[in-house]
Amino acid sequence: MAWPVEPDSVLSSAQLVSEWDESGEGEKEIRDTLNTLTIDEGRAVVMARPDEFQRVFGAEGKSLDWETEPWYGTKYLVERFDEDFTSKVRTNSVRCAAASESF
Amino acid sequence: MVSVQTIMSFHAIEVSFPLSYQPARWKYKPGNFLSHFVGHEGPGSLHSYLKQKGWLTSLSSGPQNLAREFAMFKATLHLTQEGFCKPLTTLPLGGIWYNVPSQRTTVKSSSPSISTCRSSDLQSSPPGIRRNSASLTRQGSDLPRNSARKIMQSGCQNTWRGLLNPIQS
Repeated sequence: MAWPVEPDSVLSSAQLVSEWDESGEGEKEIRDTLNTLTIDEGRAVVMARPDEFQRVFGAEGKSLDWETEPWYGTKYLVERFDEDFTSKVRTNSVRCAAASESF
Repeated sequence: MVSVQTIMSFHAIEVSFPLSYQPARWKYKPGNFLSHFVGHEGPGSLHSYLKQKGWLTSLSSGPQNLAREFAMFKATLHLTQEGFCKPLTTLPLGGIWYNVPSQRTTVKSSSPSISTCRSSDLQSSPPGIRRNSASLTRQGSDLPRNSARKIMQSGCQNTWRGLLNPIQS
């Protein structure tokens, strides 16, 4: 069986969600999961046409330094987030800015 | 950050995080729970914020099981051309969720609204489709239409506000 559940939950366990109870077990699980969604562990893939990348990220008269993956020949680029950016995300400065707006 | 050239003309950002194996967490389904909020499109949601800025055309999020014992939580944002010019502005908005736990926020504040809404709606649904209290499913269509809508409308509004304004308690 693919799901680690009791036989009588085999059909329902994939669909149903339990209420959170007083023990806080459910909330803890959610929070623990949320804790793993960090900028340090995440990855972002940005997709667009080449000319758009050039327009937004490229310097004038200089093309971006693309690599080519071997299977389909798709051009790609891998960069690390710079420290300035990651620390901003960690300290929530953007979030605080957004909090003052109404949307 | 991985940039990829496309052939089709569109702009998108896909943010993903490693996630624990979800079937083992079948009881509370944290991946689904979080994707409900991240993907919410009502007032006060991430979707609403980015859309209002004119940066976003669509947003979806959810857990994906990739292999046994391994999964990812993924949010996909399709952007307008203007939105694409601001990837570093848009991404920290992803940071809105990344950092939630470090602030004293939210999940707690949001949960009563979900469960309250859920139980009352379920009580008012026709006997034939009444379910037990543990039936917030991924597919809204699986619930009576109105209640699904109510859950969606009320749940995230509170949460997202909560995310942005840490609760002092």
